[in-house]
Amino acid sequence: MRHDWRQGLLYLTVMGMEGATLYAVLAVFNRQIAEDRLAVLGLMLLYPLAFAVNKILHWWKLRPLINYPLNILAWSAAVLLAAKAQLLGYIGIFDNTWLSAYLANFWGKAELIIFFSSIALWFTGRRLARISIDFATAVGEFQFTMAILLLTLFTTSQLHTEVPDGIALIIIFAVSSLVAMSLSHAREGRGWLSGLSQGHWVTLLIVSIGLILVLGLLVSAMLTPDFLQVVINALKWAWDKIMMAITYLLSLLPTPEGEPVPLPAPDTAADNATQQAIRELIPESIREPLRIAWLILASGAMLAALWRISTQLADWLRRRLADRSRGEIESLNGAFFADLLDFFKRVLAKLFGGRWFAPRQSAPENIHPARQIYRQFLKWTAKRGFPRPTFQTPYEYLAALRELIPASDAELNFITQQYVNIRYGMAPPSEADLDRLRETWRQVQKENSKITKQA
Amino acid sequence: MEKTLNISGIAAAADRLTDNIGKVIVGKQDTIKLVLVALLCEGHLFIEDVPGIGKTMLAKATSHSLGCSFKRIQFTPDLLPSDVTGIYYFNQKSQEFEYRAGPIMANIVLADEINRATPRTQSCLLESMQERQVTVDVATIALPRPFMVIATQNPVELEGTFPLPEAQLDRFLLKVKLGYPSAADESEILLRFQQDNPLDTLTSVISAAELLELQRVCRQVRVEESVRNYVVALTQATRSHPGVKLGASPRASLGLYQAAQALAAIEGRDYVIPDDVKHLAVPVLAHRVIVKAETGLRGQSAENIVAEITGSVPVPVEGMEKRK
Repeated sequence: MRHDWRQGLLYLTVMGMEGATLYAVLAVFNRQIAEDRLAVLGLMLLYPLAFAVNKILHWWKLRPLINYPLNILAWSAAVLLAAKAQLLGYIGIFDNTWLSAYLANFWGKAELIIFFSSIALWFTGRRLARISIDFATAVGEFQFTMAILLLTLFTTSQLHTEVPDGIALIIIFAVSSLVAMSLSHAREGRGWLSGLSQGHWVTLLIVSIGLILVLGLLVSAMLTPDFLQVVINALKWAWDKIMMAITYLLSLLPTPEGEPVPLPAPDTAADNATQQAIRELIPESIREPLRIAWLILASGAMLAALWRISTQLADWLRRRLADRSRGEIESLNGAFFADLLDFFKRVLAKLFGGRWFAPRQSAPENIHPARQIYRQFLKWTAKRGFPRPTFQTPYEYLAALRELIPASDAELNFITQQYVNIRYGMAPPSEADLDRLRETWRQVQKENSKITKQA
Repeated sequence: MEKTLNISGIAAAADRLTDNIGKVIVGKQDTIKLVLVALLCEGHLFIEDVPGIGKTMLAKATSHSLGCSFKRIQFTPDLLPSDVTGIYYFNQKSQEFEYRAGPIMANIVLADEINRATPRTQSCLLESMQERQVTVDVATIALPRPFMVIATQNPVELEGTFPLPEAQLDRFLLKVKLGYPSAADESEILLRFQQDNPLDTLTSVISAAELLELQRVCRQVRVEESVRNYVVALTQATRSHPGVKLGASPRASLGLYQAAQALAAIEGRDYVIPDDVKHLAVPVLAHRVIVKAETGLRGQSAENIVAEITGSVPVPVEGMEKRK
């Protein structure tokens, strides 16, 4: 796979998204548990370090039996150095008493945060090094990191605290996600950016980000306390009018004869006694984590429900489009909800038995990259007005496409041949052929980005 | 590795046969390929075409190329079943009943103008075509292997003919038409047959034993589950089509399945693709389908209906799994 500078930039943007999220989480833990003892930014260096180490290991194409031990060794060295730098910087590097000091205090709050956060950071960096960023991946990353970031913000709000450097984190997250999705979308030859001005998308992107920032500044300049007071006064005036109207309508109702029965006064003493009894039964040290757990559960369930509704709406739209065109339209696999639901089901299956919580069959299937590319190819041609009729075989479809896109005959032939080999012959392509297939697919999109069906 | 070599062996054998038959039959590569498919499936072939098109020549060229025994039976209205299967006669010298084999006892049997014989005589082929044996009096005699019946029929002169029953038609794996040659091909025919008959000098390129081995290997060609389901879907669609009185049988499904395997092997693949199935759908299924009278009156033939079905049944390609 050719690693051009665009792929490198995509890695940076995903790092921005994940880094902002991880920083937020770590900063909250650092403040609440470790009493701000740790320099979170220094700890975050483990993330790019893990990425670099695993990228090198991945390029060397080492066998798993060598790759995994090397990885664990690198992580161990990194976590020890991080602990040394964060907590025991006053001891010389060649004085190995710092090592025994760290291990002796291993169960300390700051030490535990370093240990567990290093696992999360290393795992995230390793994962990033092993994937290729395309539009679907960028969207998936955005969805997942945004959810974690939102949960973190809700949690800090509940704890009456705030995320350190919250505004900077949100800006970094927003810019990174915007760049990631725009770049990956343009790279696949789709979207208005690629169609509008090939080769100038960077300028367009920077201009659009600048416009958004300027707009944000203008809005923040306008939203002064005086302006907000005017808005609140206007809302109060409108509310008064509404209440006057309601009161007038109620006055038109006939009044019952006799004295009106007064409503019973609230028994505040009994309420206070009940609340006091609850406080005595469940101490604050238990109520606080229960409150946090409930908050996380409720927020997560709310996000999952919202995501499920939007996914079903999108699926319905896709089905309608597919029915109309009688062609293949592939669904965008964000997979956030499926992953989340599958994760919860697996946890419950571990706790209560797999029979009741078996993951659904609709969990994301393991599709070979060659087949994924062909799916993307079908979606790409469908969007350009050449959907594959359901009764056409891949070779018949190829013959039809040859007339429409004669310039890419050899490339289309190669893509189709590789798909047929794996789909019907169960013969997956070699690594070299797979790389060639990816490159060919990229080339087809690039050379034919403006091709559309003539009316 | 052994399987790959054998598949390439089939492709090589198919090329040799095609070239050899092509010395006699000019052009018609597609038809020759269908003949090879029938050979590799040990299926029977039904050739329906106008006179003088080369039907008999094709059958003879095929048998000469195989180095197998060949017998021709000219079906006439007075042909009896015993003329085909053979008889037991009393030998005066040995004072015993002896079996005299009929022309059915050959590797390749050409049943020329099969529709001219009576239904009784036509039905004597039923057992031999399906079970590769004949029953004469009380004895059941196995036919030689490989065994293939190539039947021809003239579609124009129908007076005094007896159309083949559905049960008999269903036993033919493929029905092919040669069609008129192009002008260039016809000119080539004149050149080739100018001095002598190329059929006389045709030699065999594959032995019977080799053919049996190739037939065995053909059965090992991989058919992915969705392709198998596609075969079934096509056959079942012939049963539910509104213009069809009687659709294709499970024998037809099996025939289409095995024919697709043979075609894939001829193309040098060890797996079947939907194109193989589509290519063979009309030759394998059309002659087994009986259309309704009103459908025929509208000018729609069984071939049209099967072609229409192949143009509507979804092919198993990426993303189809989600449609279930």
